[in-house]
Amino acid sequence: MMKSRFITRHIGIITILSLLYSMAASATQTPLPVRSKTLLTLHWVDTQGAANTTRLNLENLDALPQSTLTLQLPESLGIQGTHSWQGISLQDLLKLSGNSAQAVRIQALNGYYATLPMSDIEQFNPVLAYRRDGQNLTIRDKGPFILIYPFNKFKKLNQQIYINRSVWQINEIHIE
Amino acid sequence: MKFILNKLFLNRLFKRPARDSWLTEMLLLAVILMAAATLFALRITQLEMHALAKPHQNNELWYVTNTALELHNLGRVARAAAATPPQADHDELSVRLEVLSSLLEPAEFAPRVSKSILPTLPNALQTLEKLSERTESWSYRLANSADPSQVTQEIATQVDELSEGLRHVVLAVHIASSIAQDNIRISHYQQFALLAWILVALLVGITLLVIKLIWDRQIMKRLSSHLESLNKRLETRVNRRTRQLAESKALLMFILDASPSEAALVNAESGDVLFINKTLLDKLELSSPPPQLFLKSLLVAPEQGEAFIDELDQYGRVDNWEAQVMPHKPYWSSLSAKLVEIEGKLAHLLWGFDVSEHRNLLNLLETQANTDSLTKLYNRRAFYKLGEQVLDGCKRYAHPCSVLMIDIDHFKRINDTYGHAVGDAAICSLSQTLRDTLRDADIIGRMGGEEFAVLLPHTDRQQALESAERLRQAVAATPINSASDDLHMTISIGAAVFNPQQNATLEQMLITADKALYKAKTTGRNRVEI
Repeated sequence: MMKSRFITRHIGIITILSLLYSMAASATQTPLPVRSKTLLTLHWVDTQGAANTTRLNLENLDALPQSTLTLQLPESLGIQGTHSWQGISLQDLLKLSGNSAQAVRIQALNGYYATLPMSDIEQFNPVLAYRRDGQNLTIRDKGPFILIYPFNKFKKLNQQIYINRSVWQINEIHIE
Repeated sequence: MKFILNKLFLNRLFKRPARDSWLTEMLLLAVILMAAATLFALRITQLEMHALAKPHQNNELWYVTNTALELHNLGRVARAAAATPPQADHDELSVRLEVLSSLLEPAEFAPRVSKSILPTLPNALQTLEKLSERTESWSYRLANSADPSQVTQEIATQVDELSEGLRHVVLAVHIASSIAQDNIRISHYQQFALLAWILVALLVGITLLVIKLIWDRQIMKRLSSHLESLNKRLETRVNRRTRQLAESKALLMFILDASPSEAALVNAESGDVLFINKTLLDKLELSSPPPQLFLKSLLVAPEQGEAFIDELDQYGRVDNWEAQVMPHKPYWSSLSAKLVEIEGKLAHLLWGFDVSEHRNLLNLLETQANTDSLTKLYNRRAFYKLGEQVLDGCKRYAHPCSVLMIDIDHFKRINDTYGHAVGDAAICSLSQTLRDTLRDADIIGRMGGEEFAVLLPHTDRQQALESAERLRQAVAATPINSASDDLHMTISIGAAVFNPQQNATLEQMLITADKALYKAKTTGRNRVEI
């Protein structure tokens, strides 16, 4: 009895929220991710020890070699179903920096960050995805970037440590 | 006695008592129970493994904490924007609202609530719903309003109140989460306790089985060592028995070899000599055993040899068969033989005893018992014995038969006048004359002193008188001493003829003849009366 009442209430909320979304979408009209808007900031240190910053927008990203992973993410990441994730592999991304890296710190909009050892990149080559099933990721979709490990290819990845490294809402990458 | 004890011991070892079979059944049951317990434990472990196969954590904690932090961030950005309204950076505020919205999206927490702790906290859910509505409203208004600073102001003023509400949610979720964690801990504890008990039971079962195995092994060891000792004892006994047999065989051979009897063991068909003793070898005048020896060839008379073997084959044994043996140097032997089986083949066992001496002695004794030592004629006893037989023969076939009683005339006077030597010579002379004059079939006996008797078979009255007369004349014509011709003697003869009507015995006939002799004596001597 309790449960049915609860579900009914939730359906109500969802209906209201979806209504609000459609209103918002029709109101803004403009394509939300502006192609010139900076989506990702790369921080890296060159051979002379000087700090460098590279800002990438959608155009820059599309110019880079693309990688796609199609898989179902672990349940705890909270994304249901099998999706095709398109983006740039970290190995390709690191080529943008002029220096060899020891580790990569992935920073998210919500303040969360995770540090990846180079071995992860060499071994698993995770993809910094910004499109899901061909659609650009919004912040609400856990965009603009989400780091996708090839969970379907390596059984070893089925650990909390890799789930913790699967950062979403990424906006900064620090190459250290 | 010892053997029986051993047997009892073995029985006890082999036929396990009822108590032991009961124990085995219990152990079998224990093993089955152990297997069941192991299966049960395996199932528990499998379920737990399945649950632990994927990483899972209590996301509610992350969720509410992130939401609280993000709300705090929103407040900070909003306050900063509100402080400098004209140049306010609404982009930053918009991003923060987007991030907060993404957290509060129904897709974000709706699938989780069904199986998590949030549903158990209606107040928390209500607070989150309220926050979600407010955020969506702000987001919409910030994007579409002509004056975003008003929205910024509203956010800055309302955030604290919302934060306060969210603080309670965070607290409640933490408490609920800790309780849930503890429930998981308790469930794990119970499962591990159960597994521990099962393992203890398995350990006990395995220990019992190992003890049983060791126990059985001990029994087997004891049994095998006992069998070994039995074997050894048996072997010793067999050895001793073999030695005893060999010794007794050697002793037997020695005895047979040293025996005065002749002994041999030969194969019945091939005649192969299996054993021959020294006595027989000596008799055969051989120095070493011949390869073959046939029993029948030992006997002098071939037909007797055949008969001997026939009897042996027929009855299996021959006892004290007296025969002359050794054709090259015959002597009398008492032979015994037995048909025996040696190593699956028939053999003749022969032993003989030299009876030549015995036989000679017997002959001598018999002669002495029947003969008068002086004249070598039959004595009285032998005369009677032989005479009865001859008389019986005559009676059966109705032959005539006569007897003569002979006496030397004046024998006392010869003795007294010329001495006993001449008397003996007279008797010898008479006996010689009797032998010379009479037929071989006639039986002559010295009845005692100077008295002789003669049985004349197939002789009637006339023939008897003629014989008697011939005798009287021959004696009268023969000198006593062959050396000197001057000493003569005469005899008187009384005759008697067998009368079938009277059916007289020899005794009666001799009495009749004696009466006739008396008549001859009284009527002048040197004459024949009947």
